[in-house]
Amino acid sequence: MAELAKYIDVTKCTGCRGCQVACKQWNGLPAVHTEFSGSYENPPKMGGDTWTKVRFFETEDNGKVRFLFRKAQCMHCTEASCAAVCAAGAITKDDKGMVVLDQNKCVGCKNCVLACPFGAVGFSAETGTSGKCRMCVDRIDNGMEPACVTTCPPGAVQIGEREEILKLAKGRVDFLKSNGVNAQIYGENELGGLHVIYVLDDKPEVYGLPVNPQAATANLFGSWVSALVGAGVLLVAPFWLIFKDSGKDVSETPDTGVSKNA
Amino acid sequence: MHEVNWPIILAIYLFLAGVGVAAFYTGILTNLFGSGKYRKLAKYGSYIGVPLIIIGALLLLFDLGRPLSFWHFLLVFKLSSTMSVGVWLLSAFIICGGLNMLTWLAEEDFARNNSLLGVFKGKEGLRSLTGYLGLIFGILTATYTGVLLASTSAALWSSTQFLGLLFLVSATSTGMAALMLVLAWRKEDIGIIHKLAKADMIVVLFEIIVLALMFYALSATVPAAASVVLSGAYAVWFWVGIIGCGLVLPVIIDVAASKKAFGAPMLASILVLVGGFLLRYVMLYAGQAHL
Repeated sequence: MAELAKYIDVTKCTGCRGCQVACKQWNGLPAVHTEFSGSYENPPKMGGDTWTKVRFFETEDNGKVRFLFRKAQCMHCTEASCAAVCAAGAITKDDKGMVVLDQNKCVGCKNCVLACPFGAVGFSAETGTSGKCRMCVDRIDNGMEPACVTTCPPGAVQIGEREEILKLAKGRVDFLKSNGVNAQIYGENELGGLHVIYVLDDKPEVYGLPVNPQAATANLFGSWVSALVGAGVLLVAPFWLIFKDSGKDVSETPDTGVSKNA
Repeated sequence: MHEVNWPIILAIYLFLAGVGVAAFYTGILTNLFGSGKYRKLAKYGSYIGVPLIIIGALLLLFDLGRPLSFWHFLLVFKLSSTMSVGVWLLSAFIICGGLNMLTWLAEEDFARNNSLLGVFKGKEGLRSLTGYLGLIFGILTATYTGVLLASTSAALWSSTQFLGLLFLVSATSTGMAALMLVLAWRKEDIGIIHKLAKADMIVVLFEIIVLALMFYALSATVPAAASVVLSGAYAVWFWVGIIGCGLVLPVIIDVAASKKAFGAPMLASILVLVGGFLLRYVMLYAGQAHL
């Protein structure tokens, strides 16, 4: 099957948070007890019981405050860090490019929570497992759209084949640019290509997106190599140096270090 | 205190695992290079190492969201998952180290009439085989505890390639300290204690170099994450606890102390152990400060 992608146009988002509620309802996720943080943004973080949320940002543009919104959720990365680090085999990528976490297999070690470059995986004390957006794969398999897409009143969130979504996004960016907006796409090439494609009207960092996200396992090989080189050093100094059996040292037993045929 | 996904119990585990495997491989390596002169270190190494690793693995188990589902780990082996590599390294070490320990226990007085332990009596071949395998699995286990943190998206851990090396070196130092502590406690062979102290000094100097290189690089690439340790919330723990008490003071004590007293190496090894724990605590918590 062709790869799918979710399309999110931040310029159309009104910050109503209908997607947050629809996600919780369809996936049976409990409400989270939170306290007022000084912002309408709530809950403060994604987590095991909150798989999507609208993030709120304020910036100043020529003395005028801009109030910005971005729906955040799992990006369904091609190079998915969570799937790479999962030691229980609970996170897999399907043929549509969706990264799906099976809570029946998850043992709750939280490695994926720390591995995700987007902070999109959380731990739920209620289930004892990690949780994250699964792109409503069960709905898609039954010919329906994800819950957040169905519910979005201004049509800021859509789903489709990734190729088509990229075309749609490029068309929208061209339109916005022709109207003087500093528009750009996010997600086309990051981490091998995300399966969530954003249309942004400002730089990624303004919307709290990492400019150059790295896979959690990017450093893996180098870390092992540098440590094993170090292990070699440890083997010689201090162990060999201090504990070698001096009775058999070449400096004390004549001829052992010399070739008689030389 | 900021919110953490991997809590203090993980720091204790990382510490115990490091001390345990390093006490074991210190015993094996010293005895290997000493051509059998340090059998006592190999024995004590297995007595310290195996129980500590088992305690550590149990701590890890209880920290899971669903401890009873841990067997899912045993259906998976994948190199991209450092956690998975670690599960298998721990299992391999516990089996090899455990058999090794049984060959030593079988020689103890209390085992004379024990038919179960008697099976392991005089099994020199099994002892050296499990010892050498345990040495390899032990070094890899000590390394994995650092690489585990490095394969995440926490800036402090993933922006350096030295974390596995740092934890390996620090583990070696704490493992030597644990052996020194046991020998000094039992007032055994002062000569071996001083050899261990000398070796530990070299390891500590190596550790200071690795720490310096690592934080020099981190300060350049991820200054915000590095400053949490160097000048932020964990600065006192880092400079006073880890560098001062855990690294510099033990070296001074080892250099200055008389060559006959048991008190000085005992104090130095306790300081090394405390410093080793603080290193893991500070790195674990500071790394999660900005998540």
